[in-house]
Amino acid sequence: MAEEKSQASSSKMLTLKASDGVLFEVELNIAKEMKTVQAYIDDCEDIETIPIPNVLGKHLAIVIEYIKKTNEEYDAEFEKQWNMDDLQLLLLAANYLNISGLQECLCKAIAKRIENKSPEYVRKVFNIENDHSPEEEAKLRKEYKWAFEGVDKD
Amino acid sequence: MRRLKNSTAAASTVDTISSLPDAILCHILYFLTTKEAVATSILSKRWIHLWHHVHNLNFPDIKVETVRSSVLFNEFVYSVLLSREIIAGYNVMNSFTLDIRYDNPHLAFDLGFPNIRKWINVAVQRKLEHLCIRLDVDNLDDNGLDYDADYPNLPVSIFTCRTLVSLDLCWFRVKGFSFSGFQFPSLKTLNLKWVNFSKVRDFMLFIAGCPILEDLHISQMDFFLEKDSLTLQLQEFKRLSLPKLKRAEFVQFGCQCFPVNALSTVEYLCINTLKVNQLQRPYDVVTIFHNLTDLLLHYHNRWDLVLHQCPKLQNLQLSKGLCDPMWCEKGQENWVEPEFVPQCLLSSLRSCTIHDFSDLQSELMLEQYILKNAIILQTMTIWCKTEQPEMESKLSICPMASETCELSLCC
Repeated sequence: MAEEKSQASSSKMLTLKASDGVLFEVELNIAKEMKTVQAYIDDCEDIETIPIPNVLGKHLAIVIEYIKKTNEEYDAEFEKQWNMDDLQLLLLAANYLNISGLQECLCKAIAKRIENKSPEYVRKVFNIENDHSPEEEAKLRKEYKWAFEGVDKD
Repeated sequence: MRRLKNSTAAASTVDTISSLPDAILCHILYFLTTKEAVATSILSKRWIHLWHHVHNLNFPDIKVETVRSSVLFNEFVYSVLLSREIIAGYNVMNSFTLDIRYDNPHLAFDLGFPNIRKWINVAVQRKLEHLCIRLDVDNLDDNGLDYDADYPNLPVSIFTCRTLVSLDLCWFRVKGFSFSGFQFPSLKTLNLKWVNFSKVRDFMLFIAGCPILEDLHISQMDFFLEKDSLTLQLQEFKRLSLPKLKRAEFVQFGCQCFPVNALSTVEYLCINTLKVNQLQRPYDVVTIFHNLTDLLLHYHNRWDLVLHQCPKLQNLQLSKGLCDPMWCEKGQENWVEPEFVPQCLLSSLRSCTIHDFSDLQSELMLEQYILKNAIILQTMTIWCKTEQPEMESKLSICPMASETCELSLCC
């Protein structure tokens, strides 16, 4: 459940600097939802600008918006807007910034997009290169036979 | 012919997913079925062992129709459990979901259930938080005599699993466990369907042992009580309290000693069962439902009292379901006009839906009473099986307390 983000209780503002230099001014209690940022603040109390080297401005904006608005309804609609590339980059960001709610939401979303799809489809969607030898792959398919029965070729 | 996807960004040819740490990839796999998770082992070398570190078993839709498929499935589950333990040293299981249907009793009772019991026994020792086991067997009648065909026995090891947060069971018999001193200290969600407790007292002690329960669904469970034991049970469980309960749903549930006051904190309540009088005792204990905003009730013959008990009610639904006409007439009393208008009509009731309307006089009077007194009512919807022109005309000329109320009659 999202905390009440009232201006009155913590009006202290912080600046976050994305990897491409874009700056975001956010309230302290929003920034604190990012545990990585929280750790930064704990270490240096007077800091005003915090660098976020691994996250593009475009994605940081989305992350901040998520923190402000998250609730059951918002989360259900949230993932529908993004393509697979953005989802993965957002997940990287959520992981780096250590925001567990967003991470869970994104993992669920990505899972949803690959459920009941063939391995070939999943490789394509994620751009995974198959470095198994044909023998290795055959061995795996045989060992867990049941897992490979009746899947969409898509 | 397949068109290749043309994407503008260079990023789409990059294998971003592989730069995510293992723990994140496992988190994604957690939301897949176990079948899908295991299949990812052939994506690439990186993915061979990732599914070993996913701490759940998720089989949401399994159909076993032949001996071969039964054997294959059983083998698969055992090899998953074994691989995880041996290769990954894994001894935590967060969630176990199995929704399985067997084509005939032989597959179920001889090949299936003994193994399911073993898997449950393993799972509950691993700090399990979510357990959902739903069983179904087709063609039961054909072979009923060969099997103790009522319900497989639930492994009682479940009741020692104190880490459970949600429990969902369908089609089990519960016996051989003493429920005195029983506790599920973390259980928030309970969903029971066709679960047969050998003694109703066991069932009541079970519920009483779930102090932080928030969501309760009970369906297709019937307890027959002898008259002597009924008074005892009523006394013993009169003070049952579920202070965190938010939602309660009872479908085809008959239990005369279940105290309605235990439901007093709910926001959503659905009682859809023929034996509604068996759930609510005559009003020796008047319970006020302070948080109740949504109520779905099988037809009740003392609506005046019910309305008074729900001062914040917003949405009301009334249905008869499988009401047999004989029973309806017996429970039929003249509509009793309340002495003073119930609070919910004056300040909170927004919508009222009546299902299976018939031309019973008392029903019509209830509807008219609501229309006349519900000040902020937005919609009154009445579903009937056949056209009821007389009722229609009576209701449409009825004075309405709410100017914005929309009355709909549907067939």
